[in-house]
Amino acid sequence: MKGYKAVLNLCVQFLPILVVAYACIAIAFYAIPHLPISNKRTFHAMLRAQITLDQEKENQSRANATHHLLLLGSSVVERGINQSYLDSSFGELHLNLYATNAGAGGFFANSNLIMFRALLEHGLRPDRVVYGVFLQELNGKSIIHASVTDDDSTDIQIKSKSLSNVIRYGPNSLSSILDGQNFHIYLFALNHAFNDVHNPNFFQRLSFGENMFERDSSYRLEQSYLKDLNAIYELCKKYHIPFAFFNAPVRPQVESLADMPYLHKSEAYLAVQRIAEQNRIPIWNFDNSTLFSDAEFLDSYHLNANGAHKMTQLLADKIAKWNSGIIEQDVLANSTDSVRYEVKGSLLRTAFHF
Amino acid sequence: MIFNSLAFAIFLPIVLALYYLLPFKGQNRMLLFASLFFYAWWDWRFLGLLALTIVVDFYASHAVYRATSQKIKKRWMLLSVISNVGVLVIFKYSDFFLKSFAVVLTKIGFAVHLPTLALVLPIGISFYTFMSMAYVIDVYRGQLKPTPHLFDFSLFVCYFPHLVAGPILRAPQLLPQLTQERKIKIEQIRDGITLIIIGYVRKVVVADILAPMISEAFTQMDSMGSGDLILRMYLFAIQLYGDFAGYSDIARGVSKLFGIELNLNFSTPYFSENITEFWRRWHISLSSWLRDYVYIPLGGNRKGEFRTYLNNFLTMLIGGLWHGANWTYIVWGGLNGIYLGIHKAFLKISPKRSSSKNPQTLILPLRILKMFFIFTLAAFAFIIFRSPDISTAILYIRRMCSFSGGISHMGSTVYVIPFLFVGLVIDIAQYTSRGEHFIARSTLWQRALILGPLLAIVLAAGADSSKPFIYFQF
Repeated sequence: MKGYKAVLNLCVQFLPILVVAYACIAIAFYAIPHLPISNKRTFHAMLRAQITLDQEKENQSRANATHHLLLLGSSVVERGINQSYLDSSFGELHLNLYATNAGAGGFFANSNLIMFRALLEHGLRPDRVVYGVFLQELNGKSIIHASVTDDDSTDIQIKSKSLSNVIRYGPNSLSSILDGQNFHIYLFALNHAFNDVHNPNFFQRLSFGENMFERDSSYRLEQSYLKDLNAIYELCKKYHIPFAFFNAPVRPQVESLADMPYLHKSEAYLAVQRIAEQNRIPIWNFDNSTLFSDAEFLDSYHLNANGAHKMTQLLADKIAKWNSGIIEQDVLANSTDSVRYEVKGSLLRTAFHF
Repeated sequence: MIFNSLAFAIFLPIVLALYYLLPFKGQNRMLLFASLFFYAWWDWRFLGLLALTIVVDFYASHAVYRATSQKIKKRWMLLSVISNVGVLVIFKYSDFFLKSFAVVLTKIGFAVHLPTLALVLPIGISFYTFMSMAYVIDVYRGQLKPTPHLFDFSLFVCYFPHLVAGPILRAPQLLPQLTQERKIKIEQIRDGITLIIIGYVRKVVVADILAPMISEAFTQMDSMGSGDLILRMYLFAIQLYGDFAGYSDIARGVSKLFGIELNLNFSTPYFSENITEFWRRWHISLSSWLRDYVYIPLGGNRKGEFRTYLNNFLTMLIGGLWHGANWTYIVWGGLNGIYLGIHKAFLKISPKRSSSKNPQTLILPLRILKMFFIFTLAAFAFIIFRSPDISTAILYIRRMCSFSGGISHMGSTVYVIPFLFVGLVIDIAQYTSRGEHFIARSTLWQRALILGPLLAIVLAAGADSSKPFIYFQF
């Protein structure tokens, strides 16, 4: 076989495979819920933006209230705040507010900035934004953090779901879903797993992962996260959206390999507190062992269903005060330092722990 | 240029189209030019080194062939070996030897600071020098008549599908295919496309998806429990296999599209039931090269029992050193040498059973258990292979064997299971030869329906970034 015949044969053999491949990519986009087409790889920030936009529309049609409160943050927000309970608490407190919990597992300020920017670009204008931080919020060495590959995230956009965009950006947008860590986040986001799974079974625990209290030596205060946290606040300021922080609790007793005491705790808390104080924005501290007991946690950082219930109620009360014009600024540095810890036992024990 | 890059996705169709449209002589000229372009894409300055190797070995092979006495033949052959090993020593091992020598001197009380060359390691140097050197040795042994044309020999060494990461080919197998007019069969195009897609699945879908989890184990070892490290030990073994076997598949597949057959380099090594079988199935071209050009010249098994064990061990040490200038590779090679020695000794003392002649007669669970045991041994040795230095390897093994901490970083790992499953299905299909039968019997659209979704995953998984193949560094 030679010449044009060989070229033709090569095309005949390869083209059907390519056609099927792109058909699969197109089907994936139309079949997988909330899958965004984005021009860059920060797929899950776009995904969260897409889900939040969709969810906000649903909430808007359901809620009696007209004012929208957007919750941003990592899994401590996603898991720690029960959105429907918050809505009912607002009702009981006679607040004209409904909430969208856009907290996402592994999302620190950099991911949240990308997502928030995308939300604003798509016309979402919340009436209030509450950002939940936690001990690891500014930790540049944290392993539980969803990475953002682009240093400059300003031009990351969600594209419309047209066939040409699917062909052009499809493989790139789908790439994240094939990454274990991102897929993990995608599934959780899609299924509201952190909110809805109250008592995770063995396999769910394997999927959720076990967030261990990180070592003090594994901490580096990341200035860019601090900058991004400020940028989120600045965006709110630009659009005249009132903004508040809350500090999520950490487990008073941690099963951990951590090297205690956790010397970076005050450094992390002071950095957030400084933003709040400089800009006169509310900051509410829930990291207090008198508020939450060990039994209300699932792991080192995440509350269980009971804990989330209590946390949501506490937050609703704070928001009610804020709504009436009171700017409460708790001192984060006063958070308890008396974290007790125990070193994990044998492999067998850990296995049975699940 | 790497196979999983946009540059290669543009390069290959152009080269193929030109190749098919050109007459035979033009095809070879174009292939050589394309191969040099492929290599120069990485760094054109190292073309000179490649040319030096080619010219020295081409003329050395002719000098060996023409020499009338054995002594002169040997001299020319040694010249080739020294020049090839010399190039390797200068570019790959000089700094390692100098640093190691300085450490020894410091330990015995002579603290010295020896200057290092800090040279860039030319890509594929270990592969092409071994191929070129073996060619001269084959001529010296009388197993091969040297090709009269420098052009053909250049194409043999530079042929781009194998140039940077093997397989390490022998002249008797490749040269005749390059010098004779080729007729491309439809089966070659069909099989070539299949192999390329399978190779990309192994590399981009299996190996690259696992890569961050493995890196995590070495960069964040402090926060990992034993369970995490054990899990990642196995995952690295799969990653390495997916990476290298994937490259070999792509190389073979691309070559088939040119009508040129390359040797199988990996034959489902993790289905081996003993360590000797593993080394017959893992990096076959290197294993057979070491057997023919190191183990047998050392005396093989012809000089008594002790020498057999020693030769085996030394061959594996050299095999380890071939991989890189680091003590980790040497220790990894040595450990595999010990494995092989133990297996040899075990075979000697264990009673011969009729079933041992035919492993297929063993019950399946027992065979799977044996495979898992060999997989574990190989994976354990690969910890040393992957570690940046010996102390990290020791720390990893210590932590792993402390059995504390369990599996705490499981979250993302769970989701690689479907991709591992895809890899496993491909391997089972290869092991049982069902894959080949399927490809041979299926229609165009049946193949499209199987390979299309795989290509979709490859396109999606590969869209992120091009991670270089691990074996490029060797």
